[in-house]
Amino acid sequence: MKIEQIENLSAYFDGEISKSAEVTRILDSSEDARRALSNFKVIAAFIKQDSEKHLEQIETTINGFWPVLEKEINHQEEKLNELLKASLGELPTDLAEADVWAGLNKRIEEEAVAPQKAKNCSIDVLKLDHKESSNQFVSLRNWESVLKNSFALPNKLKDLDIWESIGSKLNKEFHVEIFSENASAELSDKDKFYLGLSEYFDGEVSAFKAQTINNHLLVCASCRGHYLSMVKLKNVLKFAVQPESIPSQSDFWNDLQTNLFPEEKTTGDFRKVEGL
Amino acid sequence: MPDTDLVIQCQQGERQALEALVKRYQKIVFAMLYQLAPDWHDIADLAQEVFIRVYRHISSLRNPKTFRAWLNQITINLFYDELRKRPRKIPTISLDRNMDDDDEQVKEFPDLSQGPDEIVLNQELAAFIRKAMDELPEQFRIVIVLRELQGLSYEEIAESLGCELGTVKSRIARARARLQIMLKNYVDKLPKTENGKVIGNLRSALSI
Repeated sequence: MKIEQIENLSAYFDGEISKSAEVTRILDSSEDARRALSNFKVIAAFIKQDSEKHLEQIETTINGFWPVLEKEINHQEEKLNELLKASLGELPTDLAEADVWAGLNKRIEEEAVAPQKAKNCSIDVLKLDHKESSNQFVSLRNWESVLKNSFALPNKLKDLDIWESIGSKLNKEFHVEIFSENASAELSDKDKFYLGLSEYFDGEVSAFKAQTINNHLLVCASCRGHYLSMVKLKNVLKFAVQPESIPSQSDFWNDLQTNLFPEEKTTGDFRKVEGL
Repeated sequence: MPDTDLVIQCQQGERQALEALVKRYQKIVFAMLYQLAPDWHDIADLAQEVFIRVYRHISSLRNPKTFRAWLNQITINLFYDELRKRPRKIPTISLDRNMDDDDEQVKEFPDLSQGPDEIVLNQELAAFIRKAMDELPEQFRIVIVLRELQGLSYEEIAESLGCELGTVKSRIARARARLQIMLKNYVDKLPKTENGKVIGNLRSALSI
């Protein structure tokens, strides 16, 4: 099955396209296509519900690239273990920099673009490429428990929260990615980030982008913190500039009339003046 | 009666329409001037000046639909004019500065172990925010006032200032970032006493 066909199926599954003749034809003629469609359902259910429950189904679904992933993880695990031993069980600072994610993601992407290997898997899950959409980022977070539970990682490693360091690395790119659309290239990443979040906070982004950012805020504590501090800043400003010192305005109109038309008596019932 | 009708009638010389417009918007003008310059004590006079300008120039307002933005423009221009007239106070302490190592500053804080701490802290905080706002460059202060206190959209702000939407976006974001840094410095230097509760509340209220 070709990537485009899988993508069509995926779009059909998401209700983004109607059941075209092309989709019908693929489903009728191809066992792979039917399997792919049923895999989408499994995966959707997995993402919606608790990961434990569907772990088994998912493992079956992704059998095709699992060994590759496992090998890569094991390799990274060895690397991490060495680092761990070297530092008496304490997390060395360079662990956060260890390229676990890059290696993992590269392998997954290689798998995803090899059509013959993709046949048992949903393209959506394989392509954990955060640039594609925020939903994939959400599903990535769901993968954390899949991965942790599927490999017999030593307790030490489990406690380390590898995904936190991988996630923070990924996050860094992701923040900028989702918040900085259309931002000037001259800005620093930090500025782009503030610009995008600030726009979102003010409700000045498209519904689609707002949804993307919503999803991101649900899973990213760091961005949520920045967002909350904007809410707080707003409250603090309102609190600090309370209008109790604003002078009374009861005589304002009479005073204004005196200012504007000093030659008149400002009785208030003189409604129209020539030349006004 | 909608603004546009009032504006047109006003342009035709109906003083009743002028009165209605003034009464409709005087509160907004007062509030905006106060928010822009909380320490000025002649806001009533400035508001008078705003409406005098409105009266003098309303005939040149081509599109009555843009009255609100036009009024904002007049108010902001007056604010700028006044800023230039008044000698700028030289700030004694830079709020951007990290004052961790400044013992004198910390000592000046009231004893928080007793008394109506929260009131004191709240008043201090309010005074600090106003000072922080005062130290913001005017262009930043204006967009934050229009956005956070007046609740205008980016487009309305752009119209009021006569600048690009992109400029508005970036000024708002930068103003926010600056204020947040100032607030963070402020919270960081709050004394960490045993009576952590009050401070803790304030800290979490800000938690910037």
